Amino acid sequence: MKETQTPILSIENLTIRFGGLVAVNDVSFDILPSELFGLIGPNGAGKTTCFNMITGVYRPTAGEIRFQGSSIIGLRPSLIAARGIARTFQNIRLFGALSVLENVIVGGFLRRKTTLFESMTLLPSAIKETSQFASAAMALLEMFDLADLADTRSADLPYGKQRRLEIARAMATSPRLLLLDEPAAGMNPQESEELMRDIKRLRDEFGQTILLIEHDMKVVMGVCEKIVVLDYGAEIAQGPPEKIRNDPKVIEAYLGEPV
Amino acid sequence: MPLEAAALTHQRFSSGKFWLVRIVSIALLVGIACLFQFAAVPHMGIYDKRLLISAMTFASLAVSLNLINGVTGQFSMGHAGFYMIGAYTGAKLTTTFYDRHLMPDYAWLLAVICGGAVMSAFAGFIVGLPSLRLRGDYLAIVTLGFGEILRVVVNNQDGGDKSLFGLNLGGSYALDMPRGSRISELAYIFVFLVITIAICRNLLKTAHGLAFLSIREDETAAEATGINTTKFKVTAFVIGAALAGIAGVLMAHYNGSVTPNDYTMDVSFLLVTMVVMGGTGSITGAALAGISLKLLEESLRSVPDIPAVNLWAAVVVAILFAAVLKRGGLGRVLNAPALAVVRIVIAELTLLLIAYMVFKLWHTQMSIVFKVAASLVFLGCAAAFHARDNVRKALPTFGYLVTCVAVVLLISIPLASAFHKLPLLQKLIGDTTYKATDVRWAFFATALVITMLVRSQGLFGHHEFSWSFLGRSFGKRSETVEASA
Repeated sequence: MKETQTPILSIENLTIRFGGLVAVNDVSFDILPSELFGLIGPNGAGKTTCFNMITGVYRPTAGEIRFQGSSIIGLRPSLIAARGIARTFQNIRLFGALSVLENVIVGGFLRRKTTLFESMTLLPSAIKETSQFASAAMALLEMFDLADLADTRSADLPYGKQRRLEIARAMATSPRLLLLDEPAAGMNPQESEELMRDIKRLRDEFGQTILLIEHDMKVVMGVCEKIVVLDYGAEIAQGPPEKIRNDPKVIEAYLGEPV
Repeated sequence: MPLEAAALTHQRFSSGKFWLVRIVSIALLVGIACLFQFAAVPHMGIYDKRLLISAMTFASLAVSLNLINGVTGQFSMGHAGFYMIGAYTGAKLTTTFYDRHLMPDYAWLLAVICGGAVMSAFAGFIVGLPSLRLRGDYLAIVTLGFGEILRVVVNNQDGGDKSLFGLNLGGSYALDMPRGSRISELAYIFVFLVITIAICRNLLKTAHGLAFLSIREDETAAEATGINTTKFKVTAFVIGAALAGIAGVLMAHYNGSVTPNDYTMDVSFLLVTMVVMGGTGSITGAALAGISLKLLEESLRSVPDIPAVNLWAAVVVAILFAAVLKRGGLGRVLNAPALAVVRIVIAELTLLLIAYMVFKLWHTQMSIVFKVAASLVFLGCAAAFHARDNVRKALPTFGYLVTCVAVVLLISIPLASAFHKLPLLQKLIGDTTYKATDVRWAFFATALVITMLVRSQGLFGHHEFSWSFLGRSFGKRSETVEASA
């Protein structure tokens, strides 16, 4: 049944070399619409490098990345974001001096229709659009339980809330594909459980396609429908969680023991 | 609670009766400018006008630099270069093409302003390009070089005999205007300052402004959020440069001459200082710092000559006193909570003393501009000390500082006369006197150092002036009084 669907993101033989180091070697996988896809592997396996290639930060040495049927290799990150791929960062990157609300407004800014001139002269169109952005942002903040903190400086938020805000900001770009780089890193078990519930809700209620990097095995196995495992830049296994759990190569490289 | 936040947001971004407000505010601006031009300016001396004009020009330059440095976070130190391009483009256009029968003066000025703005914007575009690859201090060095190269080129571009189009910029020259006709007026510069502030303020009220700010905060994240950082960074340079260019045109036409020495590195440094002092990213801060630092720089010209012995005596005492405070535990005694009341009394007395000095200032020969500015600064500080809760907490500290300064001065005076009697010191310094023209820079620098030590984020930090803020800070006391009653 699923084989007949066209993938939203398809990665073919993706390879990148930094000098002599092959950071990612010949990785291929397809993500179908509304899928919750996991990318796992030990430290230095090349997971974040994969993200950076998909979002246009690095240019792959070889291979192809197709998003909704067309290649996105060589596009600058902002263009890729405009095409519909949004991401969060492993080490949180918020606009610290801006308020929580403003952070999310910046996310929506991508869909603007007004010009810079209209903003400089503060014409009604610019004001109206900004307030539309603001109310859309408020709605997102409600969803992520951040609405009561809307006017707080984002740098002053506690760690877990900063992570949620980053996801809210990424969602504000109304992405087709959401890339989450270790969203639960540094969270306590309860926080990470809540976060995973929200991520699953994003998918279930809005049909959001999500590609997730995660270290916490319990989290990945509980949430993702399909998983790719990287080790030293190479793909060692791919499939649904049950298959990954019992794959001898994965157990050896990453898990150490069956979970 | 969430609803409250949402309401707040809408209030912040809502338009109201847009066109009515817009037309009334423009009419008000023109009205004030006309009133100023026809009622106040004729009574002002040449020096007063000059002071006011340079203060306003620098304020507008600081605000436009703030768009590049403070808002977008691209450290530019070549702002004098853009200012210069505007001035020289305007000057060249006027000397070559100006004909008073061709069109009215204000139309000509408008045309020249466009020319200057376009040339500066182009330069801004060229300088903005390196900002795509360079960050922070590296970009600062590149832009610094740009400003200096430009000054040298303009200074030496005399075309020789074989200049193709007679492109003779030729360093300093007078704009060839009929005697007594001056096409740039004080009111124009005032209006331009307001427009500059309005453009930047408008920008920051909309999502576009947030895009510029997001680049300052985190370039990688901004790019990943879909903001074309290249485009926005270059845009910031282009807008900032165009505004600086217009300031240059207006200033050149007010002066009726141009000279490369008005656009040296010092000017760029002074502008960066204004932006940092005002609080990076704060338009209010940049504008106020622009006006006050320029006036401070000018007013320090009337500082008396200072005998070297007195100055060094004060320095020696200050260092020794600081050591005693720190090591001898005197600081703990003076800073004791029990003495807070004493320190507040001292602070209040000092404020009274300053008030008296400001009052005395009105009876001196100094320019009315200084008198007004000093009074306003004093009133602002005094009001802040008493109305703002968080600033009022600084009163005891202020009193403490005043005590320290007083002690240093008291001890240093007898020490200075003792120094005079030391034969060795006599031989070393003799009767050296520091000239006021030089010492003023030392004072200026000291003022900067103190401000940065006391408040490193600049006067305004990231904040902006707003009426509601003003209302809140002065309304708070009555509210708390009501609450306690």
